[in-house]
Amino acid sequence: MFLEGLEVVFIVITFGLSATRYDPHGLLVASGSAVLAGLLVGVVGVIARRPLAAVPENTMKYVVGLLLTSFGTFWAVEGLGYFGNGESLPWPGQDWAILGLVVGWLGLSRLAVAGLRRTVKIPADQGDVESCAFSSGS
Amino acid sequence: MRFLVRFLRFWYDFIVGDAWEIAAGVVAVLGIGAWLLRADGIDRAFIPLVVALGVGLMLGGSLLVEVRRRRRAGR
Repeated sequence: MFLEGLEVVFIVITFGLSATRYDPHGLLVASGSAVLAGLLVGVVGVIARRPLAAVPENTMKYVVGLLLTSFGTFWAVEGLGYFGNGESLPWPGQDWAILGLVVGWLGLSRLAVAGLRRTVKIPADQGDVESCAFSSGS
Repeated sequence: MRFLVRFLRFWYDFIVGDAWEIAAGVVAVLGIGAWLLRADGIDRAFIPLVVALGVGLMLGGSLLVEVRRRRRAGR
């Protein structure tokens, strides 16, 4: 929980500071948006708690891990632009590339899961390797 | 002193985690991307794809190495 919160803080500060180039209140807008998003997620979580509780925890971690990895790859590459002309390095297809990254990481993780199934001995009580592989430690 | 050690330990776990090879590999791939960005005659549109492919290959390779290591250790 603490790590997820820390990640949110990093993202909000990064986006907010970046936005101050176009809007002097960028950090305030980003922080306010994060608070609103947190409230929204809380409300939706309370309303939809029953179906959400039915989703296995590791499956949720797997999906979150895929999203974090995809966005992380996207932003890390954009950030490489710092070493060029200082501007973000654009992806082919702009933001649509995130979708391609999600598909790519999903494919790689499925390959890894299939490979692990054949090569690693899994104790009977830990048979859920599908949802354990690539789940983030956060 | 204990606080400092715990503080550094936290950041090590947060950034590097339990597989330093993956963290080092990501830094190496990003370094190659930064180098390509400054190199002459390289199409910039090509670099994101090279970096993404590099990170994927590096992660897949790390996983293979880990699986082989565990098999050799009989785990």
